Amino acid sequence: MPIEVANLTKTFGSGVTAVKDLSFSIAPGKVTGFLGPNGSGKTTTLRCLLGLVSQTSGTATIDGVPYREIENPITVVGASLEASGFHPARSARNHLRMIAAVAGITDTRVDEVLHTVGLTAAGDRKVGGYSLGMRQRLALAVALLGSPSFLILDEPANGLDPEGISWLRSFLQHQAGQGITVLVSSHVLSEVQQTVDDVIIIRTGSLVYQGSLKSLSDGGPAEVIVRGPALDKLKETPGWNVRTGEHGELIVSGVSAAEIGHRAFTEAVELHELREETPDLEALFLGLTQSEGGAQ
Amino acid sequence: MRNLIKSEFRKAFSTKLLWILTLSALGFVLLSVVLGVYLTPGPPGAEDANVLLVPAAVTNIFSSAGSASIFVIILGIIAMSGEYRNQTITSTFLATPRRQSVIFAKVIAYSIIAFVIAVIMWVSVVVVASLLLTTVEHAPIEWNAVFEILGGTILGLVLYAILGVAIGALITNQVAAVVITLVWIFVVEALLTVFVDWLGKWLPGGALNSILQATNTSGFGGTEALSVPVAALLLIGYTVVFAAAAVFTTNRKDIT
Repeated sequence: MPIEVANLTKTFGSGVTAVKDLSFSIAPGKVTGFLGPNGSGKTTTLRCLLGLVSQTSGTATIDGVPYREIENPITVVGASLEASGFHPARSARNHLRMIAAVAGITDTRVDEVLHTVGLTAAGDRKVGGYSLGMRQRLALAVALLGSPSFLILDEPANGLDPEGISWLRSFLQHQAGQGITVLVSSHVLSEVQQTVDDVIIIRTGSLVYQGSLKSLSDGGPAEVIVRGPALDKLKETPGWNVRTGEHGELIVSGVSAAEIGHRAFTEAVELHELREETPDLEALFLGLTQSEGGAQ
Repeated sequence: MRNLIKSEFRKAFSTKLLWILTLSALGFVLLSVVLGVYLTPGPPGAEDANVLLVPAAVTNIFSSAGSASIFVIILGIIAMSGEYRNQTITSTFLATPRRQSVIFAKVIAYSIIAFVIAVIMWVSVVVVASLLLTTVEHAPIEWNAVFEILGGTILGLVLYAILGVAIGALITNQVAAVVITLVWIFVVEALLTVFVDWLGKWLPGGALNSILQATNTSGFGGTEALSVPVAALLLIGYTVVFAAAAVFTTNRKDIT
């Protein structure tokens, strides 16, 4: 597997265990969302994966190799970790050039990535005057600099306005279209929901779900909303789990819309609406990530 | 390694810090020259005597170039600890996960920068001091000694720049690193030199003064200075120990 985390545990010197026996792997050429509430260990996991933090035990590898052993790593893995990692008095172009020098990357490529993230005009301005959104774009430019085949992005949507989030969405889709394997973390499912193929969800440093977004929603309770002038006959159907909604509609769970429609037809019940409710992913996500006692 | 050094030069030249510290050092050094020419006090009991009639006192004026050392050590400290302060250390270590290479590249880059600063300081001192000395009565300038001071200034500033980089890696909190270094130089070393005079010359500052052949720079201490080769070896020793410790702690640090 391209990105593989196995039994990863990190206990900091302060005694805090940020990541606990975490294992997951990421499929190539897909966008994978790495989700969990703030403080759930996402950033620590990514920093272990990128060789910035030494794990207490376990392994984290990219194409089978720990990051610290990759030759010229920024040409293999592009990462953006914080929007604040810039010298305020240095221009975006000079920030990129100082990193480019390490990997022998040309100034032409620096111009290219500035263009890709839409910072060509602001490239010679000091980063100290940048908005949070511009810093996020610059962080993405840094990640793209070495034309990597992996992108690891920590909360790239943080601080972006709706326009920025929509830009990020098309940016990620474009990267995935180029065959790049993307791992993108977020504490808000909706930010990445339309972009990711797979999700990894963690809570207090441990895995709670890994798989496709689709199977996550399949696992949720399917419900059917039924409206009509007189629904009593349907309501009393034996074996159905039925409750009445706020506006007199019936909410039936565990039964398909087709079955309900057939029953209504044979019982001659007039229907005004028969609709399958797609499960609310955000609610599922919250359900998975909130601790049982609601302590978080 | 060439690429890494190039990256360090791009970092150094893309902010104003280098220029500010070099110009400050130049101002400080030239002020020392002016004071040396016009205000060098005479020996006790003969304060009015013209000490510049003594050749060593004239030579001593030229060793002012070495007082740029304080600015150079601060430059090294900020070059390293500034990366932690602005969190550019994340980008730096992502591009070069072998962290000892980053420290090594900074050591080389700032050695070159300190070399150039040393030459600038010495040339400026020679020009200004020669001009000012024409306005007062003085012993002839001993040019051999002045050229020896050039060598001492280069060695001293290069070693202080490396010490700065190492301190900045050991104490990554920039404010703490600068404050601790200044307190060490101006309080601890100065006091030790006065009250434990046999110890003073064995400290980094004492070794630096011996290399610069500066007599009584701080106005304290009366013991015999170390010979230049011994002082040079001593300061190189301090620098190597600090740099090794910096590599050791940096490789084990979690960058969060």
